[in-house]
Amino acid sequence: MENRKERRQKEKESKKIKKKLDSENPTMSFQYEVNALQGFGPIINTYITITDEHKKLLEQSELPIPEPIRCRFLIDTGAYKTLVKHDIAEKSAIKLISTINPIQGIGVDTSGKSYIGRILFICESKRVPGAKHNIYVDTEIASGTLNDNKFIDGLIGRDVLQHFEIRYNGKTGKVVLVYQKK
Amino acid sequence: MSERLEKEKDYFVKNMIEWSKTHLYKFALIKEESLVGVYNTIQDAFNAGLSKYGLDDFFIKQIIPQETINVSFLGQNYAILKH
Repeated sequence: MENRKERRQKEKESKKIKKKLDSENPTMSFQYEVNALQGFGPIINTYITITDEHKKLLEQSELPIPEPIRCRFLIDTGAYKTLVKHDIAEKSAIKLISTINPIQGIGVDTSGKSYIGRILFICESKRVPGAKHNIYVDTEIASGTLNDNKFIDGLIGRDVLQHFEIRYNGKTGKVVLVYQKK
Repeated sequence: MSERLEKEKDYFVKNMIEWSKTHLYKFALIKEESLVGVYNTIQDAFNAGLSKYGLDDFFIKQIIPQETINVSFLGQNYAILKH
């Protein structure tokens, strides 16, 4: 009898927590030194990984599931699509779909390829201490040389940013990304 | 050894102008030298590719002549820092 009562209590609590989490707009805050933010732009660490459909196929084939790869991404409102370096795309094992994808930045990078993958953000809940939100956007991800620069692994473009509200405060160095639920 | 999706890429380049007359902005799903289907979204083309070919390679590309991805913010700062 006691067990049933305890179970009910636990179920009630977890429903309450789920409700709280569902009612929250997941928010990620980043604090930068003002000059660094102006000079380098907002660079964040987050993950690239395969989509659920791709994962399911790997599981069915009893193949290993690749771990998400943590990368340094520049939040780039000027980029039409999300882009990573070639080696990151290969390491993350996202699905290659095209080998023609010229990328225009400074000149044109003709080595561009296209993949389907997932950009994954993990952020702490403000309403439920200790709980985390897994936010993701499945999208076409381009790969390129990114001029071999050492500071970033990729760019988060408007295909992903369209799901967020972005607050950029150049005076304080604070950047906030608020996920907009569907 | 030939590069992955090379056949499909050549097939797309060869036919893209023709397809753009009737399927502009749609997404072509190609396997070897065959147009498997044309879809309204990349997600639809991807799901069709996965269900038909599983983990095998397949090619998806939007039918737009001379498409480039613009990443304009990758500007002077990073070019200068690189050197």
